[in-house]
Amino acid sequence: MKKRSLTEITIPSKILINLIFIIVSLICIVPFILVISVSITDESIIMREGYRLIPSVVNLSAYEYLFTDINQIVRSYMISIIVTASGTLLSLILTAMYAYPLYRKDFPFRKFFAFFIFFTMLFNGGLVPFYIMYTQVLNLRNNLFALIMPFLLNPFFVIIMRTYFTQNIPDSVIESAILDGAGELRILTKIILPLAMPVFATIGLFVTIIYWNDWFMSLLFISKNENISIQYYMYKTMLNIQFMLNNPQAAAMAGSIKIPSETIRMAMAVVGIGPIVIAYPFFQRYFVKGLTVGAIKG
Amino acid sequence: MNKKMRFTLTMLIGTVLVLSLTMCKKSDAQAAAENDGALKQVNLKMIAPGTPQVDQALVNASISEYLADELNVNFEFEQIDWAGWQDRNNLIIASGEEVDVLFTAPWSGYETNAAKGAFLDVAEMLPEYAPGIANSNYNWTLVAGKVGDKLYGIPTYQMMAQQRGFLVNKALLDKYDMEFDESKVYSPEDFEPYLKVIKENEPNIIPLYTLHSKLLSFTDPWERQGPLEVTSIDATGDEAVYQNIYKSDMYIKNMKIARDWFEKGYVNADIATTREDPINMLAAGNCFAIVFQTNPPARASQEKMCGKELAGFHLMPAFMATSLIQGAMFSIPRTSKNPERALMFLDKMHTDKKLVNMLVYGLEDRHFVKVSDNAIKAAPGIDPDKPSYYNLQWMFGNQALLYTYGDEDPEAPSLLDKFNQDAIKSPALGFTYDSSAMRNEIAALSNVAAEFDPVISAGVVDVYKEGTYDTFLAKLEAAGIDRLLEDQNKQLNEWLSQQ
Repeated sequence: MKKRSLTEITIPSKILINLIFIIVSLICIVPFILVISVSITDESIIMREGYRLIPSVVNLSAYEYLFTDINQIVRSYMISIIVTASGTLLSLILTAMYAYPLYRKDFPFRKFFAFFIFFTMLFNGGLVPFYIMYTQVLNLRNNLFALIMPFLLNPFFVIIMRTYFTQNIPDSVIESAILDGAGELRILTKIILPLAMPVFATIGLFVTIIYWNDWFMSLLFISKNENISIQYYMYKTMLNIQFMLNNPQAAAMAGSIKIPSETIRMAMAVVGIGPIVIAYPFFQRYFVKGLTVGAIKG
Repeated sequence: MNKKMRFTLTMLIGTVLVLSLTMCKKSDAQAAAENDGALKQVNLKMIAPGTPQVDQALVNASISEYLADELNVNFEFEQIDWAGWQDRNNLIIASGEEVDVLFTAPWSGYETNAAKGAFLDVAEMLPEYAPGIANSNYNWTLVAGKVGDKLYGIPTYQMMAQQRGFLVNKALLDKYDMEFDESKVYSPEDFEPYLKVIKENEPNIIPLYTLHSKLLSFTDPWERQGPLEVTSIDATGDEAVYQNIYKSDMYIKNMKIARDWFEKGYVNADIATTREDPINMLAAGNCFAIVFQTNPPARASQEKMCGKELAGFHLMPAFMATSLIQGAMFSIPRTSKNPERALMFLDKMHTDKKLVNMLVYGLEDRHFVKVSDNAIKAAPGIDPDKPSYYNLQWMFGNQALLYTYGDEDPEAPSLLDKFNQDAIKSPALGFTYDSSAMRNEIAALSNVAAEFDPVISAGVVDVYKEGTYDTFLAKLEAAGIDRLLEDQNKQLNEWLSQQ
C-alpha cells in the first residue's frame, strides 16, 4: 500500500473542500448571473413570473432604452474614466507626499501636521459651506476638476500610508541612502516607492472605487448633461423613471413609451459594473506580489 | 518602466488640465446694451426641476431676444434633473446663490423655505409689476401662495382640481357587458358588483390591486398632503374644521368595506406589504382596477402608459384644496438683484402665449410646427420620443395658454379651465397651517400612524375583534392628537375670521 505523504489530502476532504468553495463561488456568482438574466427578460414576464435565472422570453428593450443615448453613455464613460484615472494618480501622489514627511522623524512640524490632517477626520464644514466654497470661491461649477478635487486627499489613507511606512521601512534604509548620496526626491521615488508598492496598490484600489462610484459631485457641480459621470447618469435615469411612474402629468410628456423599469435597473448595474471588474484583477497582481514580498522579509 | 510611467503621468495630468480648462464656463460678460433711457439689461436666472434639454441655450437666447424690447433681460433658464432637485434646491437656498426665479412647491420645501425667509414677499409689488397675474380670472389661486398676508409664491395655473376613484380596464368592462357612467359619482358599494363579476369569472385577474397607503387615503377627499397625516379638513364638506381622519364616519365606513373586500378576495392578498406600482399591474393585465385619479386628463395619460383603454369610476366630485394649488409655484428668492424684472417676467409667463409655448415646446419650425392655430406637432427631423426641446406642460405660468401637442385632445386647454372652475372649493381654500409649534406631536403621530395604518386601512385583520382599532385611537390620543387639532382649528378660525 502506498504511504500517504503528509501534505496529501484524502479524497473525502478533497470533495468537502471543493464543495465548500463551489458553494461560496456560487453564492458570489449566481446573483450576478441573475442580474444579467433579469436585465434581458421581458418586463411583463417579470411582473407575472418574478425573477428567473433563465428568462422564458428574452427581450433586450432595457438595453435598447439605455443605449438610445449611446453617445451620452460613451461620453459619460470617458468622463468617469478620466476622473478615476487622473484622480487616483493625483490622489496617490498627494497622499504619499503628505504621508512621507509624517513618517520621517527628522521632519520638524511632524506632530502639528499629523494633528492637522487628523483634525479633519473629526470635524468638517458640512455640505453647505463645501458647496459655497466650490461654486462661489473656487468657481469650479461645470468644471471637471470639481469631480476630482473633493477626494484628492483622504486623511484616513494618509494615516494608513504613514503607518505602513513606519512599520515596514526602517530609518536605516534612509540613512544609508543619504550616505550613498541620494537626494530627498531620489529617496522617495527610488527607495520608498518600490518598497511601499503594496500600500500604494491598496490605497489606489480604494481611491479608484471612490472615484468610480461617485455620483454626488456630478449632482452638485455639473449642470450640463453631457459632462456628467456614468454613475450619475445611471442614477438620474433611474430616478427620472421613478418620477415618471409616480407623476402622471410628467408621464404624459413621455408619451406612449413603455418604460421597462425593473429590467432597466438590472441593465444599468451590468453597464455600470464594467471597468471595476477589470480593475480588480489588475490590482490583485500587486496585492499578491506585495503580500509575498512582505512575508519573506518578515 | 520608469520612463513609461513618467510619460503616462505627464500625459494624464496634461489631459486633466486641458479638459478642465475647456470645460470652464465661459464668462457671459456682455457689454450691457444701454437701451436709450429704457430698462437696463440685466441677467435673469430661472431654475426649475426637469430634464435638462439639449437645445436649452438656443431657446434661452431666443427668449432673451423675444423679450428684448419689453424686459431687456439676458435670460438663462437652468433645469435640474429630478434626481438631483431636492439636494440642489436646498443647497441653492442655503448657500444664497443668486437666482431670480425659482420653482417651489410643498414637495420641494415651500413652507420651510418661506418660513426661513428665503423668498421675497411680492404682495405689494404685484399690482404694479404683474397686473396680468393680479387681474387674471384665476387670481383667487394666489391665496395659496400666501403665508399670512405675505405672498411668497405665484401658483402656476394648471390642472389643480382633483378627482379620485378607480381606474379600470375597459376591455373587461365590455367583455362582461357592464354598465358604466362617466358622469356619475360612485360610492364604494356601487362598485362592489363589478369586483364580484371579475372575481367569479376571471380567476387569474386580481379584481382590485392597490397599496395599503392608497386604498383609503386616495378614495376620500381629505385635504391632506401626505399619506400619514392624521388630521385634516374634508375638502368637499361645508364646514372648515380639522378632524381626526381615523375617527370620521367616512373613514370608519370605508375601513369596514376594505375589510369586507379583503375577506371576499377582491383585493390583492399582499396589500399590506407590496411596493409594486399598481399601474404596472394594470399595464401587465394582472388586475381589473386600481385606485387613481380619475379626471379625464389623468386617465388619458394613464391610458398611454398602459397601452390600454381605461374607464374612470369617480368616487368623489372634483375638488380643489390649498395643497393642490400649491403643486407648482414660482417664487423670487431674496438673493435676486432684480426682483421687479423677475416679477415682470413671471407676469409675462402668465399672459404671453408665445413665451409660455417657447418655454415648454421650444422654437417654431425648429422644434415644432403648427397644425392649426392652437395645435402643434414635432417639427420634421425631430424624433417625438427624443425631442431636443420639450418641457413639462404644468410647470410654467398658465397652462391654458399652451398649444396642444401631437395627438392630445385639442379641447384640453378649455377643459382645464372648466374643470378647475367647476370643482368644489375646499371651505378652507387658501389656508396653510403653520406647524412649527407642533413638530413633536406631528412626529409622534406619524410614527403611530406608520405603525397602524397598514393594518387598519388594508383590511387585513378584523380591527374591532382584535381591539387594534381602539388601541390605535388610544395611542393617537397619547401622542397628542387633541393638542394638534386644537392648534390647527385655532389657526384656522383666526384665518377664517380675517377673510
